[in-house]
Amino acid sequence: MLSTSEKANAKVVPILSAGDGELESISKTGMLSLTLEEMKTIQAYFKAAGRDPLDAELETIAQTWSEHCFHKTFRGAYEYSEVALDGEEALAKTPRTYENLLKETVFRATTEINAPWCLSVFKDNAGVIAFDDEDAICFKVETHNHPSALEPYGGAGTGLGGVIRDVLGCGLGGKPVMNTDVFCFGPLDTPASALPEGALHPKRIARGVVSGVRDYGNRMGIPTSNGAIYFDPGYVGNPLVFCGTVGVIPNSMIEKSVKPGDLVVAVGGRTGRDGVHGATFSSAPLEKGITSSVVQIGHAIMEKKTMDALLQARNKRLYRGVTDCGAGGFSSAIGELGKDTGVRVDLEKAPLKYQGLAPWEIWVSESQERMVLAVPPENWNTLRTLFANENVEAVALGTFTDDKRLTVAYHGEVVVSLDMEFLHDGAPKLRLKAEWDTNIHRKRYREENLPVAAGGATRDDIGGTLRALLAHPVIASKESVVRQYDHEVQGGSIVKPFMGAEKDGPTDAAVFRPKLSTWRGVAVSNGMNIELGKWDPYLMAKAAVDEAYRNLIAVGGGLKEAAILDNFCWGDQKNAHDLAALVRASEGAKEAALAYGLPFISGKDSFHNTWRAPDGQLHSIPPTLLISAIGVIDDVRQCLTSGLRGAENLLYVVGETRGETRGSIAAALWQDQSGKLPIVKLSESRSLYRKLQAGMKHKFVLSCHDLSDGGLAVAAAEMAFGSALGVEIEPPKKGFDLSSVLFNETPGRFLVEVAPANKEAFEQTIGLLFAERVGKTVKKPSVAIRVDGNILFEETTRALKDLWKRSLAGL
Amino acid sequence: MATYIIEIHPKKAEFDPLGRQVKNALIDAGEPAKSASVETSRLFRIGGNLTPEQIQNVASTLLLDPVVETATVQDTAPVKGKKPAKARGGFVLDIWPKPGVTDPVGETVEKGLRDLGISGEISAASAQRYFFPKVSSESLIKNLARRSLANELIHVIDIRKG
Repeated sequence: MLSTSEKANAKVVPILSAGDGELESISKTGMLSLTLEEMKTIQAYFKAAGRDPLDAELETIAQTWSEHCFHKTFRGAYEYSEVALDGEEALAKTPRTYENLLKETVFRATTEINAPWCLSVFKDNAGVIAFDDEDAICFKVETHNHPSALEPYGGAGTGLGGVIRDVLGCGLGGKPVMNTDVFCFGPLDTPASALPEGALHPKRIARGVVSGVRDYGNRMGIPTSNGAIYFDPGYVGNPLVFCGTVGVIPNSMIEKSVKPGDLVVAVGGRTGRDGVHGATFSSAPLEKGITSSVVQIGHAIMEKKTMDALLQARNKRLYRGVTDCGAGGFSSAIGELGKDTGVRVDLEKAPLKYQGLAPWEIWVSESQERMVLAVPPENWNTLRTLFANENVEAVALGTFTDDKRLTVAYHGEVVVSLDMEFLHDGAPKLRLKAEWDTNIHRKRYREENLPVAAGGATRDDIGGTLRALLAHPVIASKESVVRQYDHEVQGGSIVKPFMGAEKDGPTDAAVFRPKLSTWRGVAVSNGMNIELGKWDPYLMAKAAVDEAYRNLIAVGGGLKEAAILDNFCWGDQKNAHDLAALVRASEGAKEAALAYGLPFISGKDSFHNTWRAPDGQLHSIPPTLLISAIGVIDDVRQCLTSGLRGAENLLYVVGETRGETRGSIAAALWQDQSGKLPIVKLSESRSLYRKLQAGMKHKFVLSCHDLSDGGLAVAAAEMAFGSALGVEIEPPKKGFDLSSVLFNETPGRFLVEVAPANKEAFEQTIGLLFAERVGKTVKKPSVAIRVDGNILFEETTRALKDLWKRSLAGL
Repeated sequence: MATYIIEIHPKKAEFDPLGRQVKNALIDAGEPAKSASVETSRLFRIGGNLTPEQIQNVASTLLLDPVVETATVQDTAPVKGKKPAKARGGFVLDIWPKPGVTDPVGETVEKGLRDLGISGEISAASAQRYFFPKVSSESLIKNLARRSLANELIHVIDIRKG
């Protein structure tokens, strides 16, 4: 019987007689982030049950149906149309409908590719691919944007803690072996007058995020080996923090199960008020008046102890199922695990940090460092002792049942009683209109949000442009940040974040050995293109997939199976144009994935990344898609890096160079967007990448670097940075100006070093159409650009490297 | 139940890296270099039925690194006739977590107290202290605290004369 006793502190929420306005008010006051249609669906459910809901029931539904947990926008039904185009590819000459955008784009690529190396996709806490006969690799990347905007150190640290727990909660538990982090901040020199009210300065956010991730990852003993940092005015009021973790999981432990009669066991930290409403808060725009309760603070040592105990328990097969307590806390974790069976929980058994919590607070708290297990009763004592030996609390909160209901009690009084089917499948589908209007996109992302030039340069000033690019925050060395992260712990690192003669040259992907018993390894890379997203998210998405894949290929090693993850960070999901941008990006990502045979194995989306400027105008972040790529490397001893290997070797650009400077960082510096937008020629690139891999296999390639931000000139300089050598670039004559040749960011290209003895064999392997000689390596440590036999620009590698390293040295 | 404040600070000869960092932030904020000196220390508020000897033991074995740090212990209970501490000038800034905000260091200290054999009801909280001996402007300290050192969403900022 449901009750409103003082002991339970459960409150009845009168919705049965509420009108539309009142329903909306209940959702807003309670921070439930439920739409009117959702509230009415809930009202109908309880009408049929003959009663009003209790507060804990509404909270449970709100968490389960939240954007963060349910991805309702991405799973929604769309009607997409194009109101105005200006050179963008038309995706729908007449309105195009999707019944489920995620299923028909990103997920469709995976089902069509049907890769045999994909062992678990889009169903568990992380995606899983095959590694060897004994083990598989799991990978998850997700964001923690709003918490990091409010409390950068705590928000970023717990973002990493959460994704580590996703790997721990994958199958029967993956062992975390590597972290990756990508951050998007506002420019560090943003004037205080440009900050939204109450917003922290980007410099403060950056320092807090960097140190939060550092302290959590290092204390967990997990190497952080890959990442990126971007800066753009669009993130001033809303930074983005992507955290990812790779794990190793035995092939026999990829699946989990729950049986009626199993105990619901919570392990790890205690429960407090921190993070209450975290899931629904992430579904709301950042505004004033946020309370401290939504901020989560992490305790890495607790998570390390929990991880150690959990993996021991896993190996002893003491539990059948596991998941992490993330967004929504117990309500999500226990609700998910018990979805197919039913579950009964007694909340008074949950260990608390302090007294005075209402049952609903205990139930939806997002206190960190907690996992939930399904434990056969006969294993309970052994499991409890094992955890106690590691100084970790393990408490039985209830039992999985066979009644297909979620029943939560507090001191014997039921505070939640819901059908699992309604809870998990009862949310009404969002029906959304998506209208692409190039004029809105231009105004919002190119007229109101121009990037800050790093000192500026003109198109005809080659040296000035190169220097400005190297010092540009997006291109500049992130060594001051990366060195704070331990990338050697666990002993498996092969291609590290910085390598080369002075161990400070950049690399394209991280390569590591998850198991020290084999030379088989894993490569992780990422791809993102914010500038292109300001023009056309369709092109942006293709470019992001291409870049992530290119970075994997650049490290060689005999790349075998590869897969990708998507993380969409978007603005206002109530805005038809923002939704159209999402449709375009989803289609672009799908196309690229299909072309390259790269299945998506996991993904996340984050909406409501909006903020109010001092003038009161609401801004969305630029459409941002992070593609994380992971691949299995046959033999890590065959891997390559970007540092040059010897003098008088030949340099080739592999891939077609087109004068596509629009959307490049150089074009932003020049304030000249007159060029064309870069496009990815997917089928050409696919064929070319295979040829390059063949060339690598035959050892024709000595070093390799992908061409991305800053184009050829920057890539050449970076290769010199990773060596004690220099480069002489002699750009080929094309039908466009020299600056376009040197600085365009056309995707699908690499800069490779080839010994003269292998010239013919290499050119034959790649084909002369796409292997273009662009210069040579030299003994003199300098970067020179030669045109018609004359040196047009020359600077010592040391001077350019100092510029490249100095720019962000204080971060 | 007695409550003590234990202050852990670097020994006189030791370099204070956090102090240097905050000094640079003060200079960036416009304070002349010669008056921008900063001394930092870690604070622990320990509550429980501890004897003075026990609390000294906690300070010296659990909380400080005896090679480079030193500790002072203050009983927060008012003592009749006790003279107030001599004013040092400048300002003291203490930053504590708000009630209910997770304090991982405090939680770890509580566990440490139990490991030392202290039983009964105990509590521990941690904080950061900054002492600005030569700064004369309280508003400068307040701004520095809000902009760089604390987050008012999760911290209590306590500024008083040194």
